[in-house]
Amino acid sequence: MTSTNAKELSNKGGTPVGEGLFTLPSSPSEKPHLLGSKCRSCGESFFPVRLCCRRCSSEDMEEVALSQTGILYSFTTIRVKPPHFIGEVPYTVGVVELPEGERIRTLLTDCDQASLEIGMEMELVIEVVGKTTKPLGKMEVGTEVLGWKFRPLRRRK
Amino acid sequence: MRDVVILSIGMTNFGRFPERPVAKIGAEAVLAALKDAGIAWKDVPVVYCAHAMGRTVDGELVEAELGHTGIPVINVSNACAGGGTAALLAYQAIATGLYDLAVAIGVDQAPPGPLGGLFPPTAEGALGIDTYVGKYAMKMQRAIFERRYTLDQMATVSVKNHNNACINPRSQYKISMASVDDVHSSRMIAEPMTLYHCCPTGDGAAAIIFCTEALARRYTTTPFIKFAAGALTSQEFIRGELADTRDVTVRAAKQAYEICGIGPEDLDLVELHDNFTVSELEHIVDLGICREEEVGSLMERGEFDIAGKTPVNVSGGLLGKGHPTSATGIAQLCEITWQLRGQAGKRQVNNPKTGLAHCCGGDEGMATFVHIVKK
Repeated sequence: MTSTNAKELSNKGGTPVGEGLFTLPSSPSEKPHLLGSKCRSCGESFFPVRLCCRRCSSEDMEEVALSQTGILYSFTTIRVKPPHFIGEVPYTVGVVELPEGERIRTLLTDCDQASLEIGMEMELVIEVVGKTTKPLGKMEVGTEVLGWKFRPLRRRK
Repeated sequence: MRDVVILSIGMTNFGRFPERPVAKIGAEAVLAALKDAGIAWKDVPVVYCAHAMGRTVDGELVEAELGHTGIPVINVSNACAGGGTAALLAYQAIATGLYDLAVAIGVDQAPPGPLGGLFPPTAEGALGIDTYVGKYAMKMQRAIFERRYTLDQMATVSVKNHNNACINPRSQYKISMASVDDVHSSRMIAEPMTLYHCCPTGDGAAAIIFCTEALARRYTTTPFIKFAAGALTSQEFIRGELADTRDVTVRAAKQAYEICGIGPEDLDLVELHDNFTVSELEHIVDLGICREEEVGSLMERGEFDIAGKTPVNVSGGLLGKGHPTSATGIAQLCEITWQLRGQAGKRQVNNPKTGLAHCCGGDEGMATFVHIVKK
C-alpha cells in the first residue's frame, strides 16, 4: 500500500464539512468526487449542487459527480487565520478549473507555494482539515472534519 | 424623473472607536450633514440607513439618538455597496416624487482582523477558502501571470492612496510612503500580497442629504451639486471564480454613463473601490478610463494622482482613508461634493465639475454601484 492510500483510508473516521459536497471512496482503488449540478437545458456544470442554473435559470438540474482532476488557475499561501478556519496557518489555497468549466475554491495539499505553478494538473483528495472549535452545522465542538483538497497530479509510469 | 440636488454632506473620522455605540457614530455624521445644510432633524421626512455589521435596526438606533420624530427608517444591507445603495434609494425617492428631501446614512463598526467573524460559520469558512485576502491574493497572482500588471504597479496604487490619505484629516491611516519598497517590505499576508496591498476594516459613518431643486433654493445658492446618475448591478453569469468583480462594474458604469450623457473622458475625479491594490487597476479599466494594457504604466506615471489627468481616490481611498463597510459609498459622495464645492483643502483637484463613485460589495453576487455627480 502506498502512503497516499494509507492517508486516504485514515480519513474514514472524520465527518464531511457539509452534506452532499463530495463522495468518499469506499476502497483504496476508488477516487473521491465533488458533487455538483449539471443543467439539462444548457449543459453548464456547477459546484456545489444548485437549485437553478446560474447561466440560464433552468430548474432542470441533474446531480453529477464532477471530474476528479483539473488545472490550477491560481493559488496563494494565507498567513492570517480567518475567524472560522479550523486548520493551522499558514495554509495554501487555490482555484482549480475542472474540464466542465467550473472553478473550485480549494485547499491545496502535498505541495507548497514554491512548488506550485499556474496551469499544473491537480487531483482531488478528501482529507482531515482539523477539528471544530465551535459548532458547525450539526457537528459538535472537537469533531474531526473532512474537506476537499487538491494536490499536484502524480502520473503513474 | 425630477432632478435631485446633493444639499449637504457629513462624515465622521474613520478609525477604531470600539468604546462608541454605533448609533452615536451614525448620529455624528447626520448632525454634520444637518449643520452643513442648515436644516433641523425634524425637517427630515425619511432615512435610508446602510449597515453591514450591526443589528437590523441600526437605522432606528441612529434616529433614537437624534430624537424620535416617528419618520420611516429603511435599513439597507448590501455589503460594501450598502452606502451607495442607500444613497440610490434616497435619490430615487426624490426623483420619483415620493419625498422632497431624504437622508442616506452609511455606518459600520467592524472587529479588527479579516472580515467574516460576525457571520455564522459555513463549510467554506471552516475550510478557510472564503477569505477576501485569499481571493485577492489569487487575483494578484493571476494578474502577474497574465502579464497585466506588475507587483510594482499594484504597489504604486498603495503609495498614491496612502499619501493622499495623509492630507485627509478624516483618514484612519496617515502612513507616508516614499516608494513601492514601503509596500513590498510590509508584513506578508498571502503571497504575493503584503499588508499595504489590503485596506483596513474600521469604524465610521457618512451621511448625505438629497432634495429637489426647488427646496435646495431655500437653503443654498447655485450652482447646485446634482446627483446625475446612479446604477446598481449584481452578477450576470460568467464562468469561473475570480472573474466576477469585473463585469458588474462594466455594466454599472455603462448604465450610469447612458443615464447622464457623461462619459469616462469627462470625469474630473473618481472615488473607487480599492479594497486591494489590484482592484483599483481593474476598476479603472472597467470604468472605461483607460485600456488594460496601459493602466499599470499610467499609474506609475502619475496619471491618477491629485494633479494627474483623472485623479483616482484623492480622499485616500479604502486603502488609506479606511473602509467602515457601509459608510464607504457615502463617504465617496462626500469627498466628491467637497471637491466640486472647492472645499477639499490640500487634496483639492483643480476645478472639478464631475465625479464618479464606485463600490463592489460581497463575494459571489457582487452588489456594485456607479454614481455620477456633477456641478
